[in-house]
Amino acid sequence: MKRLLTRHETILGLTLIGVVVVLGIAAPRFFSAGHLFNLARSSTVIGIMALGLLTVLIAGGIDVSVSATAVGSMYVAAVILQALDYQGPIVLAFAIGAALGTLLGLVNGFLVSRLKLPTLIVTLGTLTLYRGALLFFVGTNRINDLPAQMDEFAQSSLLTLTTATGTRASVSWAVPIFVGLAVLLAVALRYTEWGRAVYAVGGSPESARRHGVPLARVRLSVFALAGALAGIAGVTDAALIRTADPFTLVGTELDVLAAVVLGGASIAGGRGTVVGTVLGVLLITVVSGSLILVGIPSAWQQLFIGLFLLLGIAIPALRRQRAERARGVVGA
Amino acid sequence: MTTESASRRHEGRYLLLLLAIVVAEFIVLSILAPSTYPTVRNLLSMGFQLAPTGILALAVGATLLIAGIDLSVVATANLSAIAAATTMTRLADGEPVAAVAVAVVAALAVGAACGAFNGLLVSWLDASPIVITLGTLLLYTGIGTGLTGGSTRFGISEFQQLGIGTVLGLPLPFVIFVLLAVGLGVLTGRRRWGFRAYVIGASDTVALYNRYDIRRVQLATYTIAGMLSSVAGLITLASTNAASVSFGTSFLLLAILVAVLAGIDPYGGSGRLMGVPLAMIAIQQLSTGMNMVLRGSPGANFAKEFAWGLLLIIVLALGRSSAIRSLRELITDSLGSSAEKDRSQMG
Repeated sequence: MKRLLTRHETILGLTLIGVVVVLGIAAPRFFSAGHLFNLARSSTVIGIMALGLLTVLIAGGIDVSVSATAVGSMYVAAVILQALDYQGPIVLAFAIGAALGTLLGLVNGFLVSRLKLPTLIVTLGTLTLYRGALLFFVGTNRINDLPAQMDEFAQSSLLTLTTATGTRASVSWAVPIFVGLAVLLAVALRYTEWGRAVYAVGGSPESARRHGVPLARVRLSVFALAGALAGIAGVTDAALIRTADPFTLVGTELDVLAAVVLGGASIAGGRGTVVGTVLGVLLITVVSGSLILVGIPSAWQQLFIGLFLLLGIAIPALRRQRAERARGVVGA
Repeated sequence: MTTESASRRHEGRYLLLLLAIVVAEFIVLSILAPSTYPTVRNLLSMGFQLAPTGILALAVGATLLIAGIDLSVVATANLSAIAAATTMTRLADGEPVAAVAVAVVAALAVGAACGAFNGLLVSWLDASPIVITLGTLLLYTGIGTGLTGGSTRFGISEFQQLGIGTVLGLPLPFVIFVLLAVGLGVLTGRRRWGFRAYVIGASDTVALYNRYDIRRVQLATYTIAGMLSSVAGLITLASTNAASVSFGTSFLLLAILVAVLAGIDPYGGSGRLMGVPLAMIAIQQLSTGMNMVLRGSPGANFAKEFAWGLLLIIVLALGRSSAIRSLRELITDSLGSSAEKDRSQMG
């Protein structure tokens, strides 16, 4: 029981509830279906990217190029579909986006696993490289005439409520996609051999290697997965705003990383859960999407995300240090 | 002959290689554009442009040396510049020289505070400097955005004189950059403090067994990085007369690229800060060259971003790949005189 109470996810969940209660008391409009559904919608794009980044972090790496991968895959997919004058099911857009994302992820994975380069600096490099290549070689124009199916899909919703005031609020189809991917990843990480290998590679590469885990292949796979999920996130974003904008999502890699680290994943590898990441994503979306409701200008958004991130790093680190001191570990 | 001096000699040869690259770039570009490139006007303009990024590269490089990293340099620079601009416009009614002096002190104080906060978190928390300085990047940008509402703050014209001034015909910002690089190079190269910084960068365990005060070195290094960032912010403010939280977001990558190109190991423990000016000049010549080739094309900036990202990965890959590393050693060896060839150096 005590263990359950002191788990990172539990603390995070309680914090989220606390924040929601405070926001709800300060601004009753917070609990309107419209606002809650909007929050759910805006958490999906960051959330899908966060699932990929979580996997990379567990394996002991970092990927800050997810936002550029998302935009690159989405925009190129839109260009291809436009050139083909495609009007079929939207699944193809997701498939192309995911495939292109996988390709870009594999480039990251190759550089990290084969050339043994530091992952932060490599992915900072590819972040700029992918963005520069997209804007210089592919184009800078917004594509507004997306396939009709994509447009329809954006307007379709899972559930529509008509509130007392007559406004309509709907749960976007993007929410179940995010939830589905999260459940899939959680199962894969927990119950498959691949999932255990990912934790092993991040936790202790040397002992993983001695147990016959193919380090390079596992590292390649997590970057490919992060790329594929980023591609899906990019197409989701384009479908939600009904535009393929090559300048969108700039800087979101920081929010994504903040959410995952806040969710308890360690950049040193071997730690992190899907539940924690989803809670981290929700906390960040709720705070940054609701400040304006309680009268704090949205300009302060980043300050709060930064503070949350630092607290998310400091609290587990201090608890770990205290635990080590209690066990009598001397030194750093 | 110790390995210490051998690695120092190797680093010296790498600086010669950088110098050769700078000279080669200059010759090629001068041949390509004889009427515009090798002109005093162009060289002066490059000197003004490269200083802020170069100083940010010094800040990043110093933290890389101790196996850390500071991702908040641009955010710190912008916050310092906002503090300076706000201070000098408030005090502008009185003596302008005093207003500028107070503003400079305010900016340096903000830089030192931001850097010291990074240093405290890095030294006291058992967590990666990557996520810590990413958190403070958001925090400092958030404070700046909150204070200004995201709008641009302007300086006063008296301060702008400094940004476009020259000393002995050289751009003042460039002179400040080179002096800082030389000063830091001497500090890390000869002083005991510098030696300890290298040991800490190379191995925490060795530093611990030698009873070095790792935390103090970390605190000092991050504080210096913060103050360097604020100097970069002041120079940007002086040359543009404007300060904003959204300035130079792409400079972070560029600063890391310059530090790594200067030969500083991204895993810590080796490299010379003296190489930063040469690496910065090499990058600036490349940027100016690309601008000349792509003149008129709206995508010139995107092409530069693409080239910087590609270059960063190529430089890293060259440094890592053993086959190419031995090739590089061969080149740097042949650059140094053969009489100086160090026999104690093993493979």
